[in-house]
Amino acid sequence: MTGFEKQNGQRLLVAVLISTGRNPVSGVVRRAELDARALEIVLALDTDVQFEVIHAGDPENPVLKDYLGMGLSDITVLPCDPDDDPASSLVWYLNRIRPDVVLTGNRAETGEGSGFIPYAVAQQLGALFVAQITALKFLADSKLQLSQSIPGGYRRRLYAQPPIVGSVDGSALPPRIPAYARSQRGKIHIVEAPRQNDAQSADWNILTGRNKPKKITRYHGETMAERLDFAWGQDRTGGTTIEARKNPRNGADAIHRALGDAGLLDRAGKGDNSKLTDIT
Amino acid sequence: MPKNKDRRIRRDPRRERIARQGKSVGGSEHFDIDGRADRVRKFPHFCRSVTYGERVRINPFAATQNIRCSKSESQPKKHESKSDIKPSIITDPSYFVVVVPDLLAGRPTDHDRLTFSAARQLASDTDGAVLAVLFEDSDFDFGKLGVDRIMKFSTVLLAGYSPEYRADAIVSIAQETPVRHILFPDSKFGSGDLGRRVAARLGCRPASGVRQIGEGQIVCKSADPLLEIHRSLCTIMLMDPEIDVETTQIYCEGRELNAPLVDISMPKLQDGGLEQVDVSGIPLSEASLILAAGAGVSDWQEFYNLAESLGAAIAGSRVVVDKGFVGRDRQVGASGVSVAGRCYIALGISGAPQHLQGIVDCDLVIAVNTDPGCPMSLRADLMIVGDVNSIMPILREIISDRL
Repeated sequence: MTGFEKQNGQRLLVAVLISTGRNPVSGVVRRAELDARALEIVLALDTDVQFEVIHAGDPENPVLKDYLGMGLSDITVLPCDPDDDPASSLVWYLNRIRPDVVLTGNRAETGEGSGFIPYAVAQQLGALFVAQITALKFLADSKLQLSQSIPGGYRRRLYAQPPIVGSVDGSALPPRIPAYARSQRGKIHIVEAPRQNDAQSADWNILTGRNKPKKITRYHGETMAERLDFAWGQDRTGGTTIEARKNPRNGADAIHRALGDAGLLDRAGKGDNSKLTDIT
Repeated sequence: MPKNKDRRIRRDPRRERIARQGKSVGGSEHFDIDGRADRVRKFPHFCRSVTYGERVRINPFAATQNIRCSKSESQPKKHESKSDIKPSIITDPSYFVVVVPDLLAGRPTDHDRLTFSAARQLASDTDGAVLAVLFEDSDFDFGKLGVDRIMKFSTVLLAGYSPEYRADAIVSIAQETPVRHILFPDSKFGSGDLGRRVAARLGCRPASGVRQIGEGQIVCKSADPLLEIHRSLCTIMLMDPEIDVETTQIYCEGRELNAPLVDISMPKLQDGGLEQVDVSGIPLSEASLILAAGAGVSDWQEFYNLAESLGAAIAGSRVVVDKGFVGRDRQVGASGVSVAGRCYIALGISGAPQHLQGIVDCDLVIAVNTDPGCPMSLRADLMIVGDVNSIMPILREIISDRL
């Protein structure tokens, strides 16, 4: 038995949930960027893992061709109307196939865009949820090693036991470009899942929004010139000055001290990127 | 000055002349028929009203009272000290509006402050209180932000990343105390994730990207940037960073309450610590420590070595990017990336306005330049006047020696 099989000999299964995306500027329909990144994580796995790509929506959607162009043999579609809640259909199907890992993008690019569906799916499947995954690795003893991105560009290593649901944000690797021939070869399988109308959003009003003016910090300067300088970021009068033309070591010491005071060096004074993050 | 001078009657010679000639005089009600005015002359040296600063203005309406304003009375009111302000105390709230802030190093972020203001707005209409839930030690006075009660959960026993514990804590608060709303800042520092976890556990859909709060109605951001969702309030709300809410003016009590006990059982997610990351690969917009080169740098190998030993991301001004020493994606400035890190070290950069536009949001700026009068010295918090190429090797030596 290799490390990538479960105790009962079944292969590990990864499910990727995909959705329709829109270009934010032109509104043209295309792959959802974060869902494509989630799919890229699975495609770039060097281990031989079984995966299934699932879409809850219209089987005739042209976006599915773009996803097939990434090299997929098939996509499973659960037909849903735009008014339906996709989470209930997805949970029904995922309960049937029982994947070990479910990956999807952080937020949808159409509709409400709350980013809540992965959490609802995790709760209803009884799976653990992990946010902002950038890499996935299967270890022996059916354990998972995950790489989570944290603000500042850093990565945290996490260990978890399947089943897990993970969301992917923009710090994961960019997705591959779809190829036409592959998109023609891929197939779409339709599975009729029970649909549920999204009752909660029935009484919402979706209106055109205007861009609200941004709040700015007002500076009660004495003269108009001072207020303009503040608004343009030119109100600075400088800080400490260290003279280091004759003796460069003074300058180097001052920089070292300033970095230490700011907490950007560890106790030994060496540059250490684990101390640069504010997240515990 | 003698008082009779203030009571001098103003004379209008033109009117007097016209009246002497026997002709009719036009209009002003302040003058009687023979040209003598009934208006009291204002003595300018006594009707002074000093505004902010040195500019003296004459206040014509102060003349009749013969007011002499002193400079100190007309200064803007200084902020009253904490002991002077009486906090507004709520003894028996009927419900709570819970706020779970992010807190960076114990202090609330701007996004947290907006969330507190939104909570204050929700609780002020009826007999509610704002309850802040803190997961780290903080000595910040949350009463200033309109917080009535505080609950602190200690994460000392749990080392590392523990979102499950935090979600359990908030769910236990929701079960034990009467909570009407739970507000989270929808941020990438953990509160956005936490809010959605709690919503999933409690079985209610959250409202995310809340932009405005009205009478029982909220306006949320939708996935389409041109559309907004107008809907009713719900229990769990995630606030957008650009939420339109009034800043809290009320100073509240901020009394600490006993936090409910939360089971610290075996967490399902094990924290394996931070991974070694190729710092040069971190996108500039996210990097905390940035080492930027300008035209003054000539020893490039030393620059790259210094960046590696500091663990800093490499950046450059337009001049060095055009010459090819630093990649185009590492250009900082108006036509490059805007950086917002904790520290920005500018080596040999003179500080053209276009470059300074890219470092507006940096916390600490250290500049090294041979010219003490360059514009970068005005922006920098620490200015080193010296040759960059001789300082770089010494700095690298200091840092590598302290192993």
